[in-house]
Amino acid sequence: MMAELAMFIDVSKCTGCRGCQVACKQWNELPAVKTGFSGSYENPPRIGGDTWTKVRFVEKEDSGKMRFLFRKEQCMHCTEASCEAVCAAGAIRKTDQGLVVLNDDRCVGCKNCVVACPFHAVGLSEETGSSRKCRLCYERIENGMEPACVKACPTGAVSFGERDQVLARAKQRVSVLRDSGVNATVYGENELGGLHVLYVLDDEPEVYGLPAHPRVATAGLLNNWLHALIGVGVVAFAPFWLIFRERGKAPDKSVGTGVDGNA
Amino acid sequence: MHEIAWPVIIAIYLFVAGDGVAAFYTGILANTFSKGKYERIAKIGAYIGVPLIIVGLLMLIIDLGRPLSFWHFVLGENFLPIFRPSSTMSLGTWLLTAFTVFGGGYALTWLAEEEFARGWPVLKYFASRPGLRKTLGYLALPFAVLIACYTGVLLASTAAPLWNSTPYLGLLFLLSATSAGLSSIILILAATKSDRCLIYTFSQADAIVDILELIVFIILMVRLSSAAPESAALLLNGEFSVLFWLGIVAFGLVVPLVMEIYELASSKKNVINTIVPVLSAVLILAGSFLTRVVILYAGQANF
Repeated sequence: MMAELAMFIDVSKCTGCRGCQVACKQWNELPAVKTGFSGSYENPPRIGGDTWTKVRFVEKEDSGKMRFLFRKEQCMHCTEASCEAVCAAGAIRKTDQGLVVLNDDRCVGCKNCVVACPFHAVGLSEETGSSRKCRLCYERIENGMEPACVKACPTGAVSFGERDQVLARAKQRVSVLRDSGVNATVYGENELGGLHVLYVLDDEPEVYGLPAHPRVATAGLLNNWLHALIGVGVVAFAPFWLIFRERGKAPDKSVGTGVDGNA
Repeated sequence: MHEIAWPVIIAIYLFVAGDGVAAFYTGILANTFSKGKYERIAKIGAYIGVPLIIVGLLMLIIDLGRPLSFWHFVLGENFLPIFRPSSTMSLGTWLLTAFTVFGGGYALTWLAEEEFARGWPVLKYFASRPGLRKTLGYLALPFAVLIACYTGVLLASTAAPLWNSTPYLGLLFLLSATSAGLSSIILILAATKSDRCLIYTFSQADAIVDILELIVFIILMVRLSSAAPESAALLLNGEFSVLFWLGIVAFGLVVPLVMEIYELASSKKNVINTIVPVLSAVLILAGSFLTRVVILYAGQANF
């Protein structure tokens, strides 16, 4: 069993240069996406099948002062990965190192993973007709290299390593930031069984567009089936059994009976 | 607004699949509970159900990014059958496959006895086989019922708050499908100038399912309003409110229900006017389709 790996993103060091975005497109040979102006320098407006990472721009007003915040977003490589759970074709697997990898040859393009991902990190590629997302450059890692986005980051906001060490560094950074009066937190330590992308955030997760309590897509499955099956029992009784059952020869006063004989 | 991953073609699939299997199990259940009085309804149910499921499967395949790879749903990398219990879509694929085989065989036992189909090559093996028909019908029945539930559960196992915040979507889709299935049978009965009292009986059953559906819809919306208020607002007073209130609630549920109850309560059964059951069946079918469209699109609007 190999040690789990993780990407570390320190938003307090990100300048929004989007070098990671370009490096990802280049290394993975992803096509450009045609976009329009969406009211922000943020572009393209969302990650998806042809854009696996990008920097999200957030404008937040704090006591009359405007803060311009950045967060690099991509697949979070969840331990409880919704995409892997819902995939009918078995196209998504979790590696021993915690990476969630999509096998393009197996993908049918049903988009179930697209609607199941709590981070909206999977999208259908116009180019291939399959769902695609960040693979944490596992082929680079296997060859002793860092992921392309990590390699490109000029400020050290994005780094990479064994998850235990990354987590320790993240906690250390949080205490440094807290000492200087910033309300810093680690995101991803326990969410969805532990993410393999860990963030140091200097504000609430929601400010950065992250769900405070992400849920695995299959969480409500059994409860939904349970209620539906109770419904099956109710419908089988009323109306089906009540209305269609053979009542014998005794005349019934209720409406609808006595007509069955004409059926 | 987020991009739409599952477009209207999926809403059509959810509708025809639910409507089809419901017509099928309505026929079998009515015939079983009546100890064989509704044989013709069972046949009509099979004739509605099996073609609709096949249309639904085609819709599903057309919507895939890679339609020609659809068999990856059933065969794994080593070409052995693949079933993934955590995947509702995987479960649904097998339910649909099993229903198509058993329900299809059941429909063939009816078709083999039609005047025009006499002498068709393979069909003769299905002719005059009451035992085979009964077996195939009962084999297909559980799959039909589970498919009606599954169309809702599929949406619930996602990240969309409107779909996953309550445990009632499978139940709602089951009831909506049953009501649509009954309505489809009413329309066929009316189109074939069947006995009015028969139409009256099915209209009565439809009214009961309609009431159940209305109750579940209310419970679902109350629960959604507290669990995912933004999603509930989309339906109650946001982007989809006109379609929701006017299309689904008013013309899809309340108006047909009032019409059915009025007709059932006021008319003597021998003078019953089939216009009212027919019109309410049409409204219910339209409302059932709109329920799929609105829930599918509203779910993806704020996720």
